[in-house]
Amino acid sequence: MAKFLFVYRNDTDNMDLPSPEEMQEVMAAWGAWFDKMGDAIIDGGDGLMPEGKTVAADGAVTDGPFMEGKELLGGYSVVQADSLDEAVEMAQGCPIRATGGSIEIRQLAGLSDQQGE
Amino acid sequence: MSRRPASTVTSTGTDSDDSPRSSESRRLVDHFFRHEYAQLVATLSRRFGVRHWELVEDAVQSALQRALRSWSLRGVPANPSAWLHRVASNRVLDTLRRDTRWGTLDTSLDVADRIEAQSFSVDESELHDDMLRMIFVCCDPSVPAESRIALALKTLCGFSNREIARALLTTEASVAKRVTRAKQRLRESGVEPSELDNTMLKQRLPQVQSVVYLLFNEGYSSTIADKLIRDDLCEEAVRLALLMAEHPSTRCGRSAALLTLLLFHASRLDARIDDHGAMLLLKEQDRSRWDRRLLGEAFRWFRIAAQDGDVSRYHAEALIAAEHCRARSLDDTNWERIVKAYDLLCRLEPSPVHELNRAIAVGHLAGPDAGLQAFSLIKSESLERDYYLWHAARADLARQMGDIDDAREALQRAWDLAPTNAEKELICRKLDRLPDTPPSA
Repeated sequence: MAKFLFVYRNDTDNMDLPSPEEMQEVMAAWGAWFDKMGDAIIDGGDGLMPEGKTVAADGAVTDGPFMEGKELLGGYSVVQADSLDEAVEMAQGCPIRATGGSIEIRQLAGLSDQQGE
Repeated sequence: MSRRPASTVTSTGTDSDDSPRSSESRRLVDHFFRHEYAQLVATLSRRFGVRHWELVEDAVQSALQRALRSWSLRGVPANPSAWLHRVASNRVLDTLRRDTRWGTLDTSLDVADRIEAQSFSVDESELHDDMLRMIFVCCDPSVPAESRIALALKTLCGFSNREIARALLTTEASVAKRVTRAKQRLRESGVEPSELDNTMLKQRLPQVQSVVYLLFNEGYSSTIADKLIRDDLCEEAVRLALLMAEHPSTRCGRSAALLTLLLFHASRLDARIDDHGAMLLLKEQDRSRWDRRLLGEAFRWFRIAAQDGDVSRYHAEALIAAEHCRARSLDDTNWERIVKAYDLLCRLEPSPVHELNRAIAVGHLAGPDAGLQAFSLIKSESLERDYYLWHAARADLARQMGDIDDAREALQRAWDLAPTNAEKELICRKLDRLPDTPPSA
């Protein structure tokens, strides 16, 4: 078993203000996805506020958000899977895809407990 | 329309940082976000004033978005309402403080600072009080009637402009215009929620009741194709009617009668539509599909409504609905009592539409002859010119008299005037059946 970081990115072109009812539908979709992953979720993580700051190499501070293209970092989770392929398979079900968002999947560099033994 | 238990809305605000991982923790009661939006706007508008309405709405919207962002991943905190309340309140406070720094001193900050000091513990009755006050603020006499419904859907029900447009069969732009204009009126000349006194509540109660009644009718009418939106409108109207019927300041026979009427209608909502979404006539409905639980509630409120000496149009309409709901079949219906109730309704709220419905009931009670005679007494040219049900009803009576040609002609006229495809379809069905149907059916 290895641990993977799921990094969620929203599509800023698709950021229409959802109605309260639509928000609840989105939340229900995430709930269903998490239910499906079940024990594979090590840490559900959290969402990120859209605003922030950056400290550059020279110490200069700039206001965020920090876009990579049209995508805005929206949150993260930590899951466990046997392989990167399995983690990718799980990420396919992520509701963020429905609104044009993406999921980046990265294996944590540290050995998980079982691998350490 | 059930409210969440009081325990989920009382909080000291210290228990919201746990992040349970069970699937249970990601589940919210139906329409939680929508109802929470309405509740928070009401509560914060009372505290900060209607003059800060835009600010309050922005803050509530952004609190919901933050919740969506976090709860989707972390799970719902133990006390979601308190979480939202704290986030939205702080957002309003931050903005007001920033404004002050730019030179516009705002006296509401004194109030605001005190709010920050106290814990966000609100009890259910206080929340209901805020909601109720907001209903009365929105039904200000200075707001045009057509804007009141849009405003009510936005502010009291948490609908987006897009959803309101779908519900009122208009464009998003037109909804936005109506809502903006209404809010502007309220900011200029409206009353603050905290200033509403019992005299004002009494004065405005009829308007408020009529908005709730219209809200329900929008949902109950066949003009909206989208069943979900229709059900939502009805459900919201029942929710507001229940609030009024239960709240000490607005509790009265009239409020109880309005709620009774809506509950009777709501119990038949699902049975009115067949599996393909087509409208069903009363006689075609499967009465076993009427919602027993809602019917039980309706009859319970019916008794409460009757205890008051006051008799309103809502009483009369509830009486009629009650008779229909009591009957096991169309033939089993007590038409005598229904005609009497229509007599009452016509006296309390004279309207050619009510007289038309009375004539139909008379036809059932005393035969098509009597029905047609009642018809001939109705003095309204516009009804005959514009209203498809006038011709549909006349067709029914003509058919029963055996005048199939008359019936066909009337149905064709009804078809021309019918506002939606659902109604046109219904009339087509009647036309198809015409030659084969024996006059007594």
